[in-house]
Amino acid sequence: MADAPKTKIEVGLAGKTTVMEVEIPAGDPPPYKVGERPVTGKRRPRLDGPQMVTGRAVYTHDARRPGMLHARILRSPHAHAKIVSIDASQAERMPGVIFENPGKDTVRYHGEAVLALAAPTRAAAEDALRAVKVVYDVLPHTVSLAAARKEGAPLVFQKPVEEKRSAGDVPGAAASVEQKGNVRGPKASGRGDVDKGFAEADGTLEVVTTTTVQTHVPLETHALFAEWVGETLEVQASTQGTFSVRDELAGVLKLPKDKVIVRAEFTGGGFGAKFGAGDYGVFAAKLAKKAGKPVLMALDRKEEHLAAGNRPDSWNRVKLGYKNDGTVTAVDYESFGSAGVATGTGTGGFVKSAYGFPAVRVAESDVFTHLGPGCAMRAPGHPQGCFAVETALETLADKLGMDPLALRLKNDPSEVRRAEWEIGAKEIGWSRRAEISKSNAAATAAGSPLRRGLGCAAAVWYTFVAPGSQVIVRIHRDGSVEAENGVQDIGGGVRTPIAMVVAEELGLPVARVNVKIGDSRYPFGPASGGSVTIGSLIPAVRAAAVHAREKLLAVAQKLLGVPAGEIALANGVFSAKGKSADFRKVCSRLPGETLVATGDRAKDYDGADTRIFGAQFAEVVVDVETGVVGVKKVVAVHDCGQPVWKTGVESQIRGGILQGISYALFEERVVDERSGRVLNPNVEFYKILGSKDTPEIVPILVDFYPGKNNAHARGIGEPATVPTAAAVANAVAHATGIRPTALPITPARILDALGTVPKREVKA
Amino acid sequence: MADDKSHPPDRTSGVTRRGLIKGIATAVTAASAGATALLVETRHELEAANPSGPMPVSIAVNGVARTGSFEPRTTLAEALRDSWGLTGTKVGCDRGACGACTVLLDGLAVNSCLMLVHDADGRKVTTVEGLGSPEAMAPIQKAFVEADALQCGFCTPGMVVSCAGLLAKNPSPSAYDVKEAVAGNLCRCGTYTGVFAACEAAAQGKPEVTRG
Repeated sequence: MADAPKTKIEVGLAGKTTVMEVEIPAGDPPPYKVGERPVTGKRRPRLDGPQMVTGRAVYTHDARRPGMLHARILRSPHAHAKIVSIDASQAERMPGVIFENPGKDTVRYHGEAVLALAAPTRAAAEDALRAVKVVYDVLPHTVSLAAARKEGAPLVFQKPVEEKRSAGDVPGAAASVEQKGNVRGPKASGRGDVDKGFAEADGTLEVVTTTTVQTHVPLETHALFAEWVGETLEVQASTQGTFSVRDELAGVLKLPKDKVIVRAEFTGGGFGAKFGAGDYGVFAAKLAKKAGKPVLMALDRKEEHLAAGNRPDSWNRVKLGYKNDGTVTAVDYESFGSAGVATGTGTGGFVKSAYGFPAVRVAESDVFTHLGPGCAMRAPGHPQGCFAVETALETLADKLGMDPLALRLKNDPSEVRRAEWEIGAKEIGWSRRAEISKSNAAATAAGSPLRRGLGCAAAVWYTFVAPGSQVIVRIHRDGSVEAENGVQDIGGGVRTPIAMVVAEELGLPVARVNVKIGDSRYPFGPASGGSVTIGSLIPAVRAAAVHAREKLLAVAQKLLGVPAGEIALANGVFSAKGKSADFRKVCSRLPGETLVATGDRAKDYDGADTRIFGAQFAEVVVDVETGVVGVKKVVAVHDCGQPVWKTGVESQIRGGILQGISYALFEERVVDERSGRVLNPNVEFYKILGSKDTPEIVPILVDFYPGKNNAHARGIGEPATVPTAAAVANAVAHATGIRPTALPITPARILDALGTVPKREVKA
Repeated sequence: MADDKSHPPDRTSGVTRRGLIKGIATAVTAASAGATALLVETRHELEAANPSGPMPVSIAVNGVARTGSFEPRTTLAEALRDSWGLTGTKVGCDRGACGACTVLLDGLAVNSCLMLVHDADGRKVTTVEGLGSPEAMAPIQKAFVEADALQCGFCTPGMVVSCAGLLAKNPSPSAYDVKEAVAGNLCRCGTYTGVFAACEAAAQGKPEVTRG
């Protein structure tokens, strides 16, 4: 076979681009050239903002139909128990109450579903729940990472468990690994010759870091509305994946995919927890079938914390081999984490990808506990791994007496990230660091409580693509334009960049493009996880829009009598050689009622780095008398290919940072080891960051052409949250001289490390 | 804490959900584990203490007289959302901790999930729908859109109403005043900096804010 024709494209950082030869897939437009885009890449208000700020946006929680039932789930109060009997006779006598009992014999965590019911009002459903009497035979449980690893700990599963994957996980083989007791693993991975790296080292050091469970806390709890129309199940779901919900419901209920319709007009946050239909969704569908009525299942806040997913906790050991100039020669990395009754706790992605370490050996193990299942959460494993590795690097910098940023630059071969370090250091004023250290020493001498610190950390994420993403652009005879894809909006605001890309290619105002999303009857779109949405979708949008333009130009050619190749389309006007026709006029001459153009997500070009980088800097103030940490400013320098909708990218960065600060300082699920119960399944005692904890944030995007697809499109959701907690921790270390090795960095931990509180006896 | 107009005593039984929750909050400070169980018990007991069944209510919601017959345990949020179709008001926690359900009661921002609908009888309620429509947004709503002070949008109605309540009584708030006004509104997407910018811009009468 002859070699396919190659096209030369410019790639890399603007101002430093190089030429790369790529094979552009047939039918796909060539990529944007440097500086070519009149509409995309700019800031503008989000198109659906007016609906959202006026309360007109309809979420799944808002689904209302005449005769609709409200469903609730009866959940286990025990961490581990046999279900001996269920007496629902009293509840069955309540008017309009129906049940769905899956007939479980064992529950393995506080909050596990036992049965579901539905009633005409939510209050009536709760009355019915209280009237159901369940007799449990309570069994021994294990709820801490340390205890569950011990020999003789109560077993969560008697048999080996295979890893279940969701659309939000880091893609990769779910390898079958050994399971012994509650420990599933280790899963080994890595690169290079680690033994040689350690042999060549001038020295080694080891750190251990820990992180606690973080819950997603989307403001809209998991919810699914189910309604049977004939043999078709029509669903409204608060989801990150219209198609993954459809596929799960079709699979579980044994329905063909054409008999399940999933809509997700607006979704009140997800962060990785909302990919499937869930047991709650299946309950809703079954109850709706039984009742012959629509059913809304919306979890309450407590259920959301107990049973709807979380970021697993972690214990991470990092051993570095290093040269005295700060170069790392080898890393030995080990992690344990508990996702409760689920799998997928590895934190080794960051150490393998973020820096240029020549040799890395990773061993990751899941530890089962009697707690609600963990799942994907914004950059799975990466904030934990980043905290571990960046803590080790800073410890090395301390040991060698090096500037921590200089040490990172020794180990960072990425041209993009090196540019990011430089920009960020300048913006945060990294050169003030020595001066700040002096002021802190003076404050200590003067007995003044406030200390200031600067810290930094690196981000890394990857370019994942959902293959098969497809977009349809429809142009009607009256000149109206629609763009269709089944994708959901979980807050990233995907309608707006879709409209911008179509508007750019068709020379129209952005608001003229009617974007229709959130419906599984539209062409396939990605589940929003792993920062795949924009990178998967935008090249397909652009292809569809380019194809639509080509078809319109053919119509304009007839109308104007000028070859299509000579006609320009801008500002709603087709023009060539002094002749012109406006957009509507050309559309009125369409051969059919509607012009339909399709764009497929072509496969990525070979060659370029698929990693997404980023560097963040934090400035903190620590009160050493109270132990309170205040984050004053975060500078976040990121690459996001060529951003389509800059406002949205910046909003995502701000959000990633605030979640990262929240993770660094506040969030901690508390479990009572004796009862096995979660003590703070709510937002009063599980603290997340609020308005008064919000610092100044400076998002900066580097101008980067990755050269993987026709729009240089990439995501930003994950990388923005990877380094924040580590940067804050490093700033706390600069401020106090105490190196945090456990998240969250609470006042108690700070004071404990400072030795300013008397030691307490802690009973095991 | 001095009570104000936003938390009136119950006119029929002398029992309010808020009052009960306040009492419980004191009782469980030392033992947070029991809080949830106690709260559920309380709703149940409340119902048992009010065996009279549905009772009529009349409230001016967004300038329209709304009436209905509600069980004593029905919250204002439930009445707005389930009976009057005003689903712009969201319920994020149903216990006054997240602020998504914030409405204005006689001009003051309150959590509608913590208020029984009977406690709002005869009073004026403004929800996010009452502030403006997509076609005719209130200045604070327009400022939210311009500042991109929203992501998933689920906390947004509560944020907008809290800011509107602030601006109604303090037309030129300080940055701290804004943070204080939305301190009871949780946002998980991380839109706070946008909210601050929007509120400041709306206070200055220029919703066309551009964030740098």
